[in-house]
Amino acid sequence: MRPIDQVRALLKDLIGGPDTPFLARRKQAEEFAAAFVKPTGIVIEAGRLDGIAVEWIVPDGAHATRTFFHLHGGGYVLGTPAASRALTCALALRARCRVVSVDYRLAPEHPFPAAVEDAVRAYRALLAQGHEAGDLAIGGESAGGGLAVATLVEARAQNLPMPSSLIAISPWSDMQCEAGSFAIKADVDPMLTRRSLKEMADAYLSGADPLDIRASPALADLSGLPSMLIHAGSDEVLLDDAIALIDAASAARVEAKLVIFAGMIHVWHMFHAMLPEANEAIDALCAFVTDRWDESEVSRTSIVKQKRSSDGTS
Amino acid sequence: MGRLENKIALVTGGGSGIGRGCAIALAVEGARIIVGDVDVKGAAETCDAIIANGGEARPRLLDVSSETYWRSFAEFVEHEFGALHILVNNAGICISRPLLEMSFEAWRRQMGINLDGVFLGTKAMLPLMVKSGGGSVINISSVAGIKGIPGMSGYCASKGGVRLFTKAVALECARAKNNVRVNSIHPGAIETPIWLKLGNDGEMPSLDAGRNSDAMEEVRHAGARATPLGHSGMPADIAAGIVYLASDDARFVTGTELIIDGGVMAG
Repeated sequence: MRPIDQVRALLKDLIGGPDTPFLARRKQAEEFAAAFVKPTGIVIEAGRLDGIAVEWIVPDGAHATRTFFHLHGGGYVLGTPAASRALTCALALRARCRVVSVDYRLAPEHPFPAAVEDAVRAYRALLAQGHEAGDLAIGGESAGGGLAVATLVEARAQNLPMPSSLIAISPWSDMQCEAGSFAIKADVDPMLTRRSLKEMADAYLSGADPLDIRASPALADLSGLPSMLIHAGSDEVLLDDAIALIDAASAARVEAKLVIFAGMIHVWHMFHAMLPEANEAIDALCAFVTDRWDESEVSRTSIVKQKRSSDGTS
Repeated sequence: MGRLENKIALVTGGGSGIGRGCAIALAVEGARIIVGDVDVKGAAETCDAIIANGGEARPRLLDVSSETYWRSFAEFVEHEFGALHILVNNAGICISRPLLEMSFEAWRRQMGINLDGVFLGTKAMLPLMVKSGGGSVINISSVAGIKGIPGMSGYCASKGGVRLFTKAVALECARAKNNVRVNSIHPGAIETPIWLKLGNDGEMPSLDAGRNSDAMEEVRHAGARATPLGHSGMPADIAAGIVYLASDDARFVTGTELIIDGGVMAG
């Protein structure tokens, strides 16, 4: 049995079918989180950013200031920072950075735009603590991937500085749920269907316009956003959402890269303990984020030097 | 009325240990405090303690080894406080390791925080201090900045650098008649988190480690054995010296090295 087939078998046990209602999935997400064993060399602690609950993941020997701002997945209706620890801990350990994962409010109790508001508020608070924007990166999986883009679209509208990079893993970026991949990939996606996503979209929007760019950031003008790396599996119904996002990025002349992993499913990264392709993907994300941080540091240093010489004080 | 009313003070590494004790002591004397630390949470806890006692304090992330962070920090202080009178360059780490086992990377990291950090901080904040009518820069060196200690070549080098950097800048400021005094303080064995990880990887321990009573007890014994007065010191012992150097009581004191070590350097 190939590792990806083992993951598929595990998923079947875990969530039943792809049409399982989301409220039933909340409990599964909790169980999934409870089963997670924290790796050694990492400290996880609860915190707050301007009142928004967050989880800090700090590996030993973390870079002093580089911080990855994480938004978890779960269709805006489920998921928690704890449920994404398999991913966030791996990112923290391999990129040697702090990860701050936002426990944004969920629908249907707190519909759109609660999630975006919470994420922007936490991002603003992180900057207010003194973080250089260039030392920050943002990203998330599934709804968290879309939310990461929406957060920056809104942050840009509020004139907040941009982080040095964005990563989106199997992003859900369009609440209309009408892309072709919903039909084409229906037979191979073990986790999601158009029906289950539509149910979550309805709960999240609660009557709001699905064309609102903060809900469907693939429809936004992405000008001014940082360079982004998008990962998608070939075997997921959200494949076209990733493609829509890279189209929007290209249209806005944002440096962006989409990598489609053959035979992989929705957010396969989460299963890196058993899946070589997940390790490969996480390493690629960490290398991308770290390279952007390095570039940002070099450019900031040279800006300091340029300013100095133009002041005549160098 | 406190000795530091209407003064504004910046303490680096104020999220724990001597920096925290110092920030609190300066606040007790009436100074408004800015706490800079890579540990924002620790910095916020220090500020909470000050505010709970009726003082004024603001935490902000600061990587003292980064010129970029110092530039934004200087802008922040000028924008939010408009002046600066007291700069305590306290942030430091201790990587204890025999020379042949010390990696260049570890050496550079320690130098980056302990020595570059003092250079960058003094350089970044001095213009605002001069603009504010003068003030006091207090650099935290160590007895290890005066005498050698086996297994601590990097720490000694960094702290020795701080000692002489202090004297040179003190003379520069005196010559410039800018009313800024610059002094160093040399703590001996003080019970702070920095000492708890000696012999481990040399990384800064977490605040929780500072509350580990067994480890603390061991440090207390080791410190006591090495100290003529028979016990190790507390952050408050250093803070008292910092308050003195920060206040006008020390108006004739610049370029000096204030040793607070329970007698270690006397023998």
